[in-house]
Parts: sequence; structure tokens; C-alpha cells
Amino acid sequence: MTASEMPYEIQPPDDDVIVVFAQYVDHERTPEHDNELDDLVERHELVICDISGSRKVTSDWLRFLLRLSVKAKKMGKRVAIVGMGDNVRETSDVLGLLDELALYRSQEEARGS
Amino acid sequence: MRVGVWGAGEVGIALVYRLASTRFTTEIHWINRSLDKIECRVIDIQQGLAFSPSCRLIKPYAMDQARRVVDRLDLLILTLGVPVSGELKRADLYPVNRDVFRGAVVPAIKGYAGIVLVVTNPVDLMTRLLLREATLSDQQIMGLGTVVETARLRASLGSYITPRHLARDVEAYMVGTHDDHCVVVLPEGGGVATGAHLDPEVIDHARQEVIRAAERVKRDERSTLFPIVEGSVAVARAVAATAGDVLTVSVRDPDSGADLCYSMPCAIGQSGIQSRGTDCLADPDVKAGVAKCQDVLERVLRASDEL
Repeated sequence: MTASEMPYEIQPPDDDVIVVFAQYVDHERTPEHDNELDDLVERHELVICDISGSRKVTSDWLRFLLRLSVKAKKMGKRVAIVGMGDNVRETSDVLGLLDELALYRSQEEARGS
Repeated sequence: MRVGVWGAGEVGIALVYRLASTRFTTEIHWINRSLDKIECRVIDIQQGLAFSPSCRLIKPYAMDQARRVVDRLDLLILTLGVPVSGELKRADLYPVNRDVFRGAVVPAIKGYAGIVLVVTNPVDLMTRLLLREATLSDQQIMGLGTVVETARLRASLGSYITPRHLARDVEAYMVGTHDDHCVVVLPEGGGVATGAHLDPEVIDHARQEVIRAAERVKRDERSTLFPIVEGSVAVARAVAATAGDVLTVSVRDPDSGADLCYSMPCAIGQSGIQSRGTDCLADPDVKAGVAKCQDVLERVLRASDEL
């Protein structure tokens, strides 16, 4: 499977984990994706979702990021969304998610917060 | 089925075009304040009827012809009136759309034997108005109500559920009033497909997404159309069939002393409303939410000197 066929790539695990999303995140979301990302939240204090390279993230994936954020919050952990572009911001706003996602301009800012 | 559409705003136009391609529509009778806006569109649709599965006829009528044409309809869909725009909320439209209905619709449909679907906002109050002043039966009149919110909720919840569900496979709905107060119902025993297992905060986000959807009309008038049009078609299809499809249309609460209309799951068929479901009120949260909807309706009616 090529990089363009994958919605995200998980960078080598560390204390915090970074999930770098693809340029176009419009892939069909599978139970495997859901379980993999759910598992990351369970195992790490901070999951950084880097969408700085994403020109488009479908509403389906944005809602799932919200679900991950709620799960993390309930566990006393964090999901940080880094580098949200204008296009994705507008979609998030229309969906009413903008105020609910923890947004940061950079990975450093997300870690430092 | 012979369907009438009254109104030629964004919703009315989209609905007429959509109805022309349905299998259950045989005739479309399109009523508008004036013929100017609809005559060319009628010709447009006529020129495409070769591809329509069932529709054989579409005719335009000015409003002063409405009384005459209504009697030949099986279903009349009302979309006329002032739409939501700017800072106005749906309830703000009641005084002006009430006058529109009293002036034109009530005289035209008194004694009508067919089914009426109200889409004009505020839909719950407009449905009540016709029920009381056009002297039609509870079975004949319904408002589109939370059919739209239910569709939006299912689309949103489908994204939150694992495995991801198509909107049509989600078993959840919204009841109450077609405004910010509508209430989420996640039926028991439906398993994953209801979303009942989701974190309450996630369910609330889905609800907020549904409520916010109406604001999109301020960005782009047409970006909120699809569930309204498809919801209206779903109701029309239910009237055309005998299956008793259940949809959350706005109908009179028989226990309400003020003839309040709001959405509950109703079985719909050729005679209109076959039954009104109230099982969801066994949930105290749902019951409290619906009571709040009733309070809001009464507040608007009091402000309009109707209570």
C-alpha cells in the first residue's frame, strides 16, 4: 500500500506519539483505523495529530478526531490537532467542531501546552 | 400520485424538480404567487419528462387559481412564505407567515380531502395554524418537523460509530420542535446502530452539529437543501405507498390543551397519519426535553396573542 493510499502514518512511538495525516484524508475509515487510533490514545498521554500537510480532511475523519479527543479527555489525556489549514478549519466550523478540538500551530506548541 | 407544490423559493423549486423524477409522482401542479417565476421552469421540466419514470404532467398556477387546483390533488406540499435569513430565527417568521397562510392557504384548502405537508417555517406553528383554521383532520395535516434533524443526526452519528455506519442504517431520531430544542432519541435494543454506546459528550456534539446546520443557510442558501427536499420526498413516498413508513413528522399532540404540534415518530400512509408513537416518552430525559419544546411553542403563541 503506497503512502497516498494511507490516511495517516504513525511516527515511531515515543512518550508522545505523532500521527501525520495525508495530504487528502478522504479514505474510507475502517474499524482497523478506529481501533488503531483508539489504542494510541489508551497507551499514550499525548497523541499529536499533525494535519499541517492536509489540504482536505473529510467530515467523517474530523468527527472521529473529535471522538478521540473526548475519549482522551475522559482518560485525563490529550489529543492535539496540529496545523489545521483554512479549508479544514472551515469544514470543522460548519460541523461545529472547531471549539471542541485542541488546536495548535506546531508540534512544539502542542507539547509545551 | 397527483402532487401539488405551493411555493417557488429555493426549497419549492428543488422539490418540484425532484418530484418529477420519482416513481410515485404522476402529476405536479405548481402554485406560486405569480406565474412569472415558474412558467419557464415548468417548460424546462416538461421538456425532460421523456426521462421521468412516472410523471406525465406538470402545470403552473397563479395563487388565485389555488382553490380550484387543490381539489384534484392527493398531496399538497406547502413551501410558500418568508424563509429564514440573516439574524432571523424560525420563530421570528411566525407573524408574517401566519398572515400569508391565513390570506391564501386557509381559504384554498378548506374542505380539502387530501393530505397536506407543511414545510414553511416555523413548521410546527404553521401546522397548528392550518389544523385549527382550515378545519382538516389530524390525519390529513403534518409538518416536515424533525424529519430533517433526524436525517442530519443519522449522518453525524454514523461517522462517530465503529464500525462506521451509513446514515440510513443508523437507528436514531429526533423528536420535539424543529428548532434548537429538538431531542435526541436512541432506541433501546438497537445495538451499535443506535449510537447509544457513544460517550454522551459525543452524542451532544452530534446534536449540536444538527442544530448548527440551519445556520449554513447564511453562508449559502442551497447548502441546507438536500435533507429538506429528500425528507419531503420521503413523506410523499410514504403517502403514496401503503407500507406505513415511520417518520418524525410534526402532528398534533392530543393531550395538549393548546393543540400544540411537534414531531414524534408517526406511521404514514395513503390516508395520512396512521398512528403517532409515544414510546420514547418513557425515557424521562426525552419527556423533559419534549416538555421544554412545548414550553417554547406556548411562549411564541402567547407573544402572538394566540394563547
